[in-house]
Amino acid sequence: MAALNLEATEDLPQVLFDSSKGVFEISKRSLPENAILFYEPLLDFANEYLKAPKEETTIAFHFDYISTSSTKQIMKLILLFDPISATNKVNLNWNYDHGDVDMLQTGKRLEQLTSLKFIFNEV
Amino acid sequence: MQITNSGKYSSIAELFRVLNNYQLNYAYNGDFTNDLTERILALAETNMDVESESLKIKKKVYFIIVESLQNITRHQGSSKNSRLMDGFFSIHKFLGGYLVGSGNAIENDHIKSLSQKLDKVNSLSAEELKEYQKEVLSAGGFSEKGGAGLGLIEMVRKSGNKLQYDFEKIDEQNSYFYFQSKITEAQAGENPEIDEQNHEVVKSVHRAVTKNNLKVFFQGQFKHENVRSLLSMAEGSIYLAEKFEFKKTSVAIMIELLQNISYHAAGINNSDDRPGLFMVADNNNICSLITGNYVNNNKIEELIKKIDFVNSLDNIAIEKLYLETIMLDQDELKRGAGLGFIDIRIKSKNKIEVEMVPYTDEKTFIIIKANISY
Repeated sequence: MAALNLEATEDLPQVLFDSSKGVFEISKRSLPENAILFYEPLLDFANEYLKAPKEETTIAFHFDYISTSSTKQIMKLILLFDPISATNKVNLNWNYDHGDVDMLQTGKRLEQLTSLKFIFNEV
Repeated sequence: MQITNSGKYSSIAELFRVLNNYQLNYAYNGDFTNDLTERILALAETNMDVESESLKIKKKVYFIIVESLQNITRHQGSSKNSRLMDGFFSIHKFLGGYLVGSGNAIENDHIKSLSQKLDKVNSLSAEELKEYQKEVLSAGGFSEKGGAGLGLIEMVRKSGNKLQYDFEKIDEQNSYFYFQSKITEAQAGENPEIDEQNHEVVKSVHRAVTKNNLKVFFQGQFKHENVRSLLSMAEGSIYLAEKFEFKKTSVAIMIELLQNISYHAAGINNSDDRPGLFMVADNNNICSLITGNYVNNNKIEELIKKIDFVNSLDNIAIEKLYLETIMLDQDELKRGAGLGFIDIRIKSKNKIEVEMVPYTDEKTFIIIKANISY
């Protein structure tokens, strides 16, 4: 499995995971009825990639809205990359809409729980 | 924490009980801009699709909504800026049909001529209505506000039911005009008992709305499907769109409140039911997002403890709790992450208010209110 692409819907995010490029992007709205079920294949995909990660991995989030149950799963995903950050380069971009203070703060909170350095981009 | 048996929401709890006889109720109060009327139509379409209504009924309901909204927008604006003068729209779904209600202020001087028009169309048989429509069309006697009574004739013809109306005096100059149409699949015939109940429903929702300064009132099933359409409606309403940051915060809180109901609300008839209430109130620079639903009594204590605890923490402590909670192992069976109230407390920057009204031995009606300053 080299790629995992999901189209965004009214309540589900756009997902662009590409192992060959080491790119993990999630954007738009994450309001699934059941966040654990929705994120399970994404976490599995990341775990698979981490068996042989690229020298450089780029993670990018850009949420419009995110439910707290999704936030928890996003945290789980971020933590998976924590162990490789000592040996491999991991870029984590936390993008948020111009003026979306809540989303910036959510990112700031998550950053405290990992050794990965967040790059905050107001777009 | 407030536990009130006779608090300000006991009337809402009573209304909730009555409205549970309907499958869906929603109402708006305030300024009916073009954007809002478009949203109302879009939401009605979504809901009718969810309910898999027949094309025939969909078209009828759509027409009646458009006419009702036109009546509101045509007659709003000339009166003073008082809440009692606000336009009002509501729609109620019952087994076999829909009830569409509207309300607007009207000058007392116009009551007589309006009543005559309404009585006239109500008095005619289907055949006579057709004739009368031709008559009006050829005479072309438009009233100064652009109506010729044609709208009323069409409403009776399309709905297949008589129009109901009532006036309630506001002051020496103005009265409030309640107006409603019933749309049924088949020609239902008159059922005085149901009609009487329907009539009261529109009025009681309007009373609740004005009493609590509500802008939006929605009661129905809070399953994921409905939560989605409700969100898109609430998000787009001009009322929340004024300031970007405020809108973002409001919608984020709304997401948590609505998910909360869809996860935890107690049903009445069966355990898959998620009957709930969602309201938006506006009180002098404070917007309140309010939900109401039944909770099983054996879960009340835990819930209240949780909210009390979240309310008791200062900014530093609540941030710490957020981080601790997100790292907790999650019970696979629970869909919520336990972060909802923490998140609401942080984002709203205000304490979460709770009120309870006893319902039965097993269930309590619980009101949760998040206040956002803007």
